[in-house]
Amino acid sequence: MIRHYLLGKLADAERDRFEEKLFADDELLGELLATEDELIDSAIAGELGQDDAESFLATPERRQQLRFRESLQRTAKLERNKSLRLLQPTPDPDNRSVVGIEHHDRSVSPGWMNWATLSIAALFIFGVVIWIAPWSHGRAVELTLIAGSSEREVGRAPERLKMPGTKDTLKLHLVLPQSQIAARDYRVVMITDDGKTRSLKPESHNGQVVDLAIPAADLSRRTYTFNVYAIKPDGTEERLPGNYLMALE
Amino acid sequence: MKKDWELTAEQFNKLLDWLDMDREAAANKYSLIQLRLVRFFAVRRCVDAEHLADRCINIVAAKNLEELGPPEGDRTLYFLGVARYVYLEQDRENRRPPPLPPPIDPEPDLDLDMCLERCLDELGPDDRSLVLEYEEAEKQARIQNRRRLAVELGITINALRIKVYRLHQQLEKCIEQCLADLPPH
Repeated sequence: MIRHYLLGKLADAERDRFEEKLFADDELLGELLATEDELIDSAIAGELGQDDAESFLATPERRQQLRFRESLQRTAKLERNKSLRLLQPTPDPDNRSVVGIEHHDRSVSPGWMNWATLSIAALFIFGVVIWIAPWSHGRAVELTLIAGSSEREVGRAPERLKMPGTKDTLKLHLVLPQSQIAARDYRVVMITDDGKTRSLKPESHNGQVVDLAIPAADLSRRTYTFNVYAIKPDGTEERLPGNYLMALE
Repeated sequence: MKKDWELTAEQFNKLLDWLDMDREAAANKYSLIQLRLVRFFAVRRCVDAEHLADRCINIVAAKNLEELGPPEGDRTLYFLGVARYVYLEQDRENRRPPPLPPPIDPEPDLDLDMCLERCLDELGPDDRSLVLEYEEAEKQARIQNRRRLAVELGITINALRIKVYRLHQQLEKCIEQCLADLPPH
């Protein structure tokens, strides 16, 4: 009955009678919320039949609600995975993949500290370290970028990278410039060469490097500029000097 | 659609008193009424169900509540009557089911994910944890997980659903603002 009500399948008289109960009974309201949850979960899993999906998701508000719950479930899954990784034993740094695909949490690995030290050294010589994963299906492709010293640095060439496969994820490690800004978090703005901007939430950061994970499906063969903003403890943002250039070919 | 008016603080307070003399109980009743009204319009595929729900509440609040009089137990039902009136009052054009929106983009929305992260951080740690734990596991295991959460919080499963639903509303409002504040793509 509740499911039929939410899917708009009750005849008018039946719907009116149901609503009279719904407006008088808090328990029934709770059951309605539970059924609505189930319908949303089914819609996210693609398990709702076409007619039911069209009926249930007929309004923009419902679709917005669906996107919100999808995002919430992704976030919950990520948090759970993070907790699980923290519980796993630290891998032997000597066994690290040569091609730079890392399966351990950077924040807890001693190998990561070595990497960070190397990155800071690289900052002084303005070098760039590129790790490219094998072009296999759905893998992580890693690229480390160092900030250019100035916005006005004319003619600086972007780091070039072969366009990853559509199911791959580009893992960008932006080595931060030396700065006195105390940041509790960072925000990265990705700017394409046709002027479009997109705000990205880092996957992780440690005060020296900001890690981004961008699905390759969101990228195309063009040049990208990344600007990093430090989010200070009071919530205000300050742009860090320099920017990062990358060209996908 | 008729022009709406703003509810004054005095009207709002009178409405709460009319719902229940205990302010906390009144606020609870108010939010449950709003939740029901939103469903009432969503089931009828009205665009902007929340706005129509607020309109119903405003209509009731603008009345002379002392003289309005349905017995206390029927006051929630009074809103149902108003909702039916508001629905019938809609233009024929507005009542028609809206055309189907475009298919949902299967790709994750990175801006939405980022704003959600920010808004989750604005919740207290307990509420943040509750909202995320509520989504954990799948299917039957998820139901069991929610029962466990309700037991841990010492509330019924329905009370848990309503609590989480309110947190969702809070998050959705915050996300809406966050997305509006992002630089254009």
